[in-house]
Amino acid sequence: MEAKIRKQIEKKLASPRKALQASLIEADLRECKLTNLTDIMLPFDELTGVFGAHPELSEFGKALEFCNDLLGQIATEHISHYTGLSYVFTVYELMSDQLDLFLKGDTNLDRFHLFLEKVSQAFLGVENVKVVLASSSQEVIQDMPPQDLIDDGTFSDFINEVTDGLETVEENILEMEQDPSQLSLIDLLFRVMHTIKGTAGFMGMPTISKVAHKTEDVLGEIRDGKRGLVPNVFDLMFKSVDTLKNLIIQLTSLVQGTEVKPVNIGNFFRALDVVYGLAEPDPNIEQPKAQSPLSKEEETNAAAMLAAMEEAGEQPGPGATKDEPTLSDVAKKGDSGKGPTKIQDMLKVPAERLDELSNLVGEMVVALSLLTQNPIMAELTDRNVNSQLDHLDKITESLRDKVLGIRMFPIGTVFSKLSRQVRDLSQKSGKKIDLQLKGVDTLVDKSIIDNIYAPLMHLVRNSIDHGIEPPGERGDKNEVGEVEIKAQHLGDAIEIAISDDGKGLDKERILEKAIERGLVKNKESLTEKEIFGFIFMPGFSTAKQVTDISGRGVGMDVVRKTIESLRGKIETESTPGKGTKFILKMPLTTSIIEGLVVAVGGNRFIMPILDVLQTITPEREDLKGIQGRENEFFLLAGEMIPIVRLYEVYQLEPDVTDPGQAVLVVVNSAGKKYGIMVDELLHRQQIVIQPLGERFKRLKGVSGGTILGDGRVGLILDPVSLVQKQPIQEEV
Amino acid sequence: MGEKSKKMFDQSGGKLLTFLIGEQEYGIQILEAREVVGMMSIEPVPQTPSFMKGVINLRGSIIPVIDLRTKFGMEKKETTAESCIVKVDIQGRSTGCIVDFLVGVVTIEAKDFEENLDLGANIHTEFILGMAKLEKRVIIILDMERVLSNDELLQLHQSAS
Repeated sequence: MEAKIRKQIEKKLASPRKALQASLIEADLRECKLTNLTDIMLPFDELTGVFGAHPELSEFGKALEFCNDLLGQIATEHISHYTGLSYVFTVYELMSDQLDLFLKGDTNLDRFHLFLEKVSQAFLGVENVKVVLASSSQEVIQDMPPQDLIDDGTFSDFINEVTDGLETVEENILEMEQDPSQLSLIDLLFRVMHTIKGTAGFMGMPTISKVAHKTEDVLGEIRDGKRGLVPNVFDLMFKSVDTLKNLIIQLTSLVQGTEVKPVNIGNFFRALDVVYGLAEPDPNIEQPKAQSPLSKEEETNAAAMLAAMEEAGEQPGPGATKDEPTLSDVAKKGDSGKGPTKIQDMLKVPAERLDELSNLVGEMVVALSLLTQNPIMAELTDRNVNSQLDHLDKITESLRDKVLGIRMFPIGTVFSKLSRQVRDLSQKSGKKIDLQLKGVDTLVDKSIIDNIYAPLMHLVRNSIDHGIEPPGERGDKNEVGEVEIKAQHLGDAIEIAISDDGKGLDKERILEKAIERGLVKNKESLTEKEIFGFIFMPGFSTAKQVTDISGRGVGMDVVRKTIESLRGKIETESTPGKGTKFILKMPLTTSIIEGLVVAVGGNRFIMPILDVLQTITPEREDLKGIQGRENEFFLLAGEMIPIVRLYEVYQLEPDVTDPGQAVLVVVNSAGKKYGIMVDELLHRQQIVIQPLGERFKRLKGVSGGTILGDGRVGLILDPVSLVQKQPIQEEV
Repeated sequence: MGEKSKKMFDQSGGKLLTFLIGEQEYGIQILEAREVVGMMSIEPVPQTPSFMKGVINLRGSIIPVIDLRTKFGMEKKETTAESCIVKVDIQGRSTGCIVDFLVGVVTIEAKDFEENLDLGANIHTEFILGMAKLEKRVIIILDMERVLSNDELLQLHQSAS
C-alpha cells in the first residue's frame, strides 16, 4: 500500500479512534458514572465503515466485529460487563497497536490474525467457564500461545516472569494479612497482576489474563479505598495465586506435551463472587486454608506477636515511636482477626443454635418481666431482694443485648453489592447516576441482611429506570442523577430510605391504572400514600414501555412481601419533578418485640407496639355511621377513621359490641388510619415471636404466636394486613 | 402389603398406640406418636377449619391441635377428664390430636392385619391404612400422614375462609 493512501486512512481513522479511546478509558474507570454502551458502539461503527472501504484492512474489521459482538452480548446480558469489557480492551488495544504498525508500513498481519483466532476461541472458553462454575468440575483450559512465541523464547520468559511475580504476590499477601495497615503493598500486587493480565492477554492466553484481570479489579478497589481488607479478599488472593500457578503448570505441560492436569478455576470465581457478595462464603474454605502452606507461618506469626508484646511491655509509655509497636498496635493486630493465626479463634456454629439461644433468652426476658410485675413482688420491702432482682434484671438485659448482637451485621455488606449493580444499570440505561450510601455501619439482624438485598435492588432499579430522567430531560437539575440509600436506627426499628431526584411518581396514572384494574372504585377517598401503595400490587406497572431493566410489573409486589415477612412496612413519598423516596421500616430484630396484649371475648391477641399509634375509647358524639350502619367511623382530631371490629373479622363472641365502651387501637396501614376495636387492653409485654408454621400461613392478619405469662398461647396480630380490604387481598 | 404397612411392621415392629374415639378403637404406629399429654387449654385460631381446635403451649413450643372426631366427620362431643392429646410427629412437624380415651400399646402381627378395606361409602377410608383383629378387638390403623396432610388442611382452610 502506498504511503499516501496510508496517510489518508490514518487521517480518516484519527477522529473515531480518539473518540473510542476516550469512551473505553471512561468505561475502564469502573465508576458508577459511566457512559452508555452506545457511546462506545458509535465510534466502533464509524471505524468499521472506514475499514470496510479498504479491503487491506479487513483483518482489523474482523477484530472490530468481534468487539462489537462482545458489546452486543454485554448489552443483552449474555456476558457480564467485567468479562466482556476485559476482552474488548484486550482486542482493541492490540488492534490499535497493530494498526499503528500497519500504518507505518508493517503489513504482515499473520500474527495478529493468529491472535484474533485465539481470542475468539478463548472467548468460547468463557462460556465454558460458566459450565465449570456450575458443575464445579475441573477443566483443561486451552490457552495455547502461538507457536512462534514458544519458539522464540517469549513463552518461557513469560512463564518465569509470572512465576516470580506470583511468588512476590504470595509473600506480600501474607504480610498484609498480618498487618492490614500496609496498604502500600497493594500497589505492588496491583502492578504484578496488571503485568500478568497484559502479557497473558497479548500472548493469547485469555483465561490467565482474565483471572489476573479480576484480581486486579479487586486490588484496585482496595487501593482506592472502596473495599476493605476483609477475610474474603484474602481468600480470593490466595485462590487467585493458586489458580494462576496451576494454570501456568497446565500451560507448561500443554506446551511440553506432557500429561496435563486439569485446573479448577471455578474455585477462584466462586471466591470472586463471595467478594462481590454474589455468593455465600463456602463453609469449607477455612479447611484448606488452615492446611495450606500458610500454617507454617502461624508459628512465626505467633512468635513475632509475642516478641512485639514483650518489646511493648518493656517500653511502654508515650516515648514509644512508630517503629516500636505499642500495646495498642499489637492489640490492633489481634483485633484485625484476619490472619491465619486467628482463624482457630473463630467458632462456627449452626445458625439454628443461635436461634435457639436467642429464643431462650427471649423467654427469660419475658419470664423475668412477669416475675417483676407480679403484684406480690411489688409488696416486697426487703432491700436485698429488690437489689438482687435489679441485678438480675440488668444481667438479663445485657445478656439479651449480647445474644441479639451476635446476629447483627453492618448493612454495608448489602449496600456494596448494590453499588456494583447500579454501575451496570447506569450503563445499561444510559443515565448517569451518582449513588450515595449512608449509614453503612448500621447494624441489623442477619435475617434482614439475608433478605433485604432483593427488595432494595428492585427499588433502586425502579428509581434508576423510572425515576431518573434520561440525560437531557433533567431540566435545571444536575445532569447526573442522584440516588441515595440511607440506613439508620429509629429506636427499636431500622429505617432504610431509597430516594432519587428523578421525575417522581405519576399519581394520576397510577390511579387510572388502579381503577382500570378494579383495585379501587372511589378515588376521592384515597390518600396520596394509598395511591402510591398500588405500585406494590402484583402485576401493577404503569411503565409505558417495558425496558430491559424493569417495567414488567413484577418485583414491586415481591418487595412488599419480603418487607412484610420481616415485619416491616413500606412508605412512599413522591413529589413531581423532585423525586421519589421509598422508606422501609423494620424492627431491628425479628425475634423479640414489645407487644400490647388485648382481649376480645376470651381470646387474647398481641399487637406489636411499633404498629400502634394510640389507643382510645371514643366519645359518643365522635362516632359516626354510614349507609344505615351505625358507628362505622370515629372522629380523631378531625379525621374520620374507620372502625375495624376484630370480633367481626374473626367471628368471635365479644364482651363489648359498642364502640363507645370498647377500646380502639389506632394503627396505620398504607398512610391511612384504622381503629381496631377490642374489648379491653390487658398489658404491655415483651414477647418472643414464634412462627405458627405452614398450616397457618394463609391466616389473615396473624403473624405468629407467643407464649403469654400464664403459659397460654397468644396470637400476634399484624394490623397492617388485618385492615386491608378484601378486594385487594383476593386480587392476589 | 403396601409400603406404608410394611414400614409399620419393619420399623415399629407392629407396635401400635391405640385410643378410642367414640366406641371405636384406633391405632397409630408407635414411632409416629411422640408423647401423650392431658387436656390443656387450647387457644382457638380464627379462620381455620372446624377440626382445627387451635394451638397449645407444649413446654414452650406452639403446636396446632386437631380434633380427630371432627376430622372424621363424627358428631361433636365435649372433652372429658379422659380425653387427651396425642402428639404426632410427621415429616418434622408436630401436631396434637385430641382423642377420647387412651387405650395403650399393642403389638400386632402381619397375620392379624388387613388392608384395602371396603367399609362402605360412609366411612372415610382415605385416612385408613388397614385393620387389625385381635380376639374381640378391632383396631382401625390410621395413616397419619394422610390425616395430617398439609395440602388438605390448606384446601379446607381456603374453602372455609
